[in-house]
Amino acid sequence: MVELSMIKLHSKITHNLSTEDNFVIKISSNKKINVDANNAYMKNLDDKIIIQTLYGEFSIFDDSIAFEENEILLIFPKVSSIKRFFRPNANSNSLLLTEECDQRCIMCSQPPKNKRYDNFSLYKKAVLLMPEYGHLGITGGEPTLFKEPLINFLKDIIEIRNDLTFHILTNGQHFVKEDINNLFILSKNVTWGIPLYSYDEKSHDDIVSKDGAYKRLFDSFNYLLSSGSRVELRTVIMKQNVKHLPKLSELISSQLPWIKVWAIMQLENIGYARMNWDKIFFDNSSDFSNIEKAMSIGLANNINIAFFNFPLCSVPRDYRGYAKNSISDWKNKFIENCDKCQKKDFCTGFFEWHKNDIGYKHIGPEYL
Amino acid sequence: MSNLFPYKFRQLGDLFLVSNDAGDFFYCKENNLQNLMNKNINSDFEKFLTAKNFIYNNEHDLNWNNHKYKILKRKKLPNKINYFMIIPTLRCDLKCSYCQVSRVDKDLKGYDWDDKILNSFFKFVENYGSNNIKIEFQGGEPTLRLDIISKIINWTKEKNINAEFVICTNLMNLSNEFEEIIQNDKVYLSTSLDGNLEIQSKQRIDNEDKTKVFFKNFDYIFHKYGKKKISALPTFSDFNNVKSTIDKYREIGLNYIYLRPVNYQGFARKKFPESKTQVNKWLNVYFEAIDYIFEKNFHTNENIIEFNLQTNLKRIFSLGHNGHLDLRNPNFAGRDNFIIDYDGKLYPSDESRMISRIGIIDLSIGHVSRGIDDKKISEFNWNQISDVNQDCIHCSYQSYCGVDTVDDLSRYNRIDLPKSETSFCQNQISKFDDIFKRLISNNPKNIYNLSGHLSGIFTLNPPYGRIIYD
Repeated sequence: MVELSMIKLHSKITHNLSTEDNFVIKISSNKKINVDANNAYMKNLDDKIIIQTLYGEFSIFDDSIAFEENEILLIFPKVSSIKRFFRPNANSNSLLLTEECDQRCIMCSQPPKNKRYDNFSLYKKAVLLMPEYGHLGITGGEPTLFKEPLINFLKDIIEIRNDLTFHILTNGQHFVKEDINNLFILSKNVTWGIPLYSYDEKSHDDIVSKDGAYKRLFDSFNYLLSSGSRVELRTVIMKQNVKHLPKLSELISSQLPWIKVWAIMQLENIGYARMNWDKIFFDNSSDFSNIEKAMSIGLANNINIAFFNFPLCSVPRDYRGYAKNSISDWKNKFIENCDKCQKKDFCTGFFEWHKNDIGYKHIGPEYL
Repeated sequence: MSNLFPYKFRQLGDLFLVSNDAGDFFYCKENNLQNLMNKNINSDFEKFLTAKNFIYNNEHDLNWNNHKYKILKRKKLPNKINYFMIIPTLRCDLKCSYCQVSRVDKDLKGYDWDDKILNSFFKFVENYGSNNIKIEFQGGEPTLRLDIISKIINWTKEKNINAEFVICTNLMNLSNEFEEIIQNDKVYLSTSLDGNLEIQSKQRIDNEDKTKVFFKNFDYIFHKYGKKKISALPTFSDFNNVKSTIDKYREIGLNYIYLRPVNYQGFARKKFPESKTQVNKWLNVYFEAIDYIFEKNFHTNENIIEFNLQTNLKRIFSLGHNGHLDLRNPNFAGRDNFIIDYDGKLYPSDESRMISRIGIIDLSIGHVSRGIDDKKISEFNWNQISDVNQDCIHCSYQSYCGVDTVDDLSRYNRIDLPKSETSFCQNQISKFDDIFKRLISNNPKNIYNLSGHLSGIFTLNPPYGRIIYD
């Protein structure tokens, strides 16, 4: 098995820091760097990395971590740990705001817990260190459980740094009419990633395990449309909803033609999805017909469609151009068969936790 | 009871097509049309009408806003100029029978851009152009002025303007200097290819040896740089040639064809006076040709896309397909494109340049050095909106169709004829009728080709869901 080891996003540190308050730094290995409140100097030694900050030094003994130049770190002195907040060369950077959620989606890759990380003042400092035109994802849980502070956080940042953009994953259950003005202010900089699983109210509600969710979502859609917000609609395909895909495509073409992207997504086999795998995983390499039907309608209606998390060889040739490199670099891998594949560089690969024996039946270079 | 948005209808055989300003549509039988008109709408029908976005419950609800959004998308034009068609010279080394631009002989003086016009053009692009622009070099034969083409390409590089270039050439002179330009990835070629050797010679060059040079050069470019590099346009003065020309395109491996008769413009007005009035004759030929393309596409591996059909289909299905001057509403001049003639005069379209040149009317809207004539543009633009035309506002196809005052002026010397008497209207109505009949024909050949024209993927999956209420 040839597998990449996962990129670690957290680490323990040993330190002599003079502050107990959490802080943020941008690190550089350039010796000429001015160490100040924002900038720190990184020294790579054989057995450890030493980082000099305004408040003293800390060291990391984990040799699987290789920091990037100008990476932004969050430092938590009290608990002797750091979080890698923004890696300039990553294909995506995201901020987990909370693990709380008011839906229980049957395929949730990150099942809700009573943990929240709504440290907006710290994040604001970190975000302001991001490079020009930087992009940050914000995920949960459900980020809009902190809707007011989240919107204020974004408004504050955009006022100072209008070049930055954000992608926020939300279930769309909390927007109200009064948010329209604020959403409008955010509309150039924020894309809202929102799941819609079916054209059918009950099927959608069943999948998210919440009665009335579909109706509430469509109220939110109206506020998002009214405010000119950017929406990336997300539909994870499962045995439960794949048959509904053509009708969902019809609904999107007719009722939601203003969305920026419709992401048709493959399952990530972790969290509830791993628990429910046999009941929900749909193998698109064995049957692409409903996706094809949905594509025919959506593309005709000028809907911008993208496949997320689909290995190229699982998709019929005509549709391969729609498959995106969507899996974050810290959690994707390639499997043994991929070594022989010439399209590897263009392929999203598999999730780190993908299992061959219960996945796609018809994949491999021979299907390309 | 919820509220209906305004709608229009049109009979197509046993069914009625019902459409609205947002371009949503469905078909129903007469009894349901009556029910709709009498607002006798049961819950099943209401559900269908909601799904089709024909009704709303409250002002500013999702259906309401959605309807508004779609209308806006259908009418919105880009704010900045992204397309410049320029005529660096009116001179040409060929004398084609149907030339639409009244070219002049290649040795004449005073029909080329001078440095002053070129520099004014640069300033004009800087002032009014968007960051992504397309520059089409027309003529005359623009390759007689490769020096100007090179200067413009280099200038966009210096200024960091993201530009693509199309050189419309007769491909008679493939010099080293020209090939150096062609090697640039951003440069594309467009040429006239009317059919096989015989047809091409007859219509264009009247000299088989010269025509052979054309085909040799075409093959060379096509095979060396690939099919993306070069596109070809046929013109039909003899309608009997259409099928053989389609065959020729297929044989070469061209996947794109634009079927159009001789345009009633330029030299063609004298040589082909019948091109003014032969709409029906052409339409019959056109629909036969579409059937022919559909049939061959369905049974072979290579698919050909016909440009008119694709544009008409996209105007129906794809919101915001507003880039084609031939079919959009409003069709404002001086908004997202300009034609700049050999003498620096600005025109809203190539056709307006042509009719100005033969003296019917002066449709120039300024000069590249002296500026844009806003007053003239605004006068002209009032006639470039179908929403103020009493014929168009009652037409079921209005939201898909366009408006083309210049074509009316060119053919009839006036713009106030009832639309149904104009060539433009007859042509579009027939084509939309044809499409809306094909959509519900249950003929796999139609589905396969309509899907392919819309998405580029030819498949038996229809490009729509439920569209008939019965």
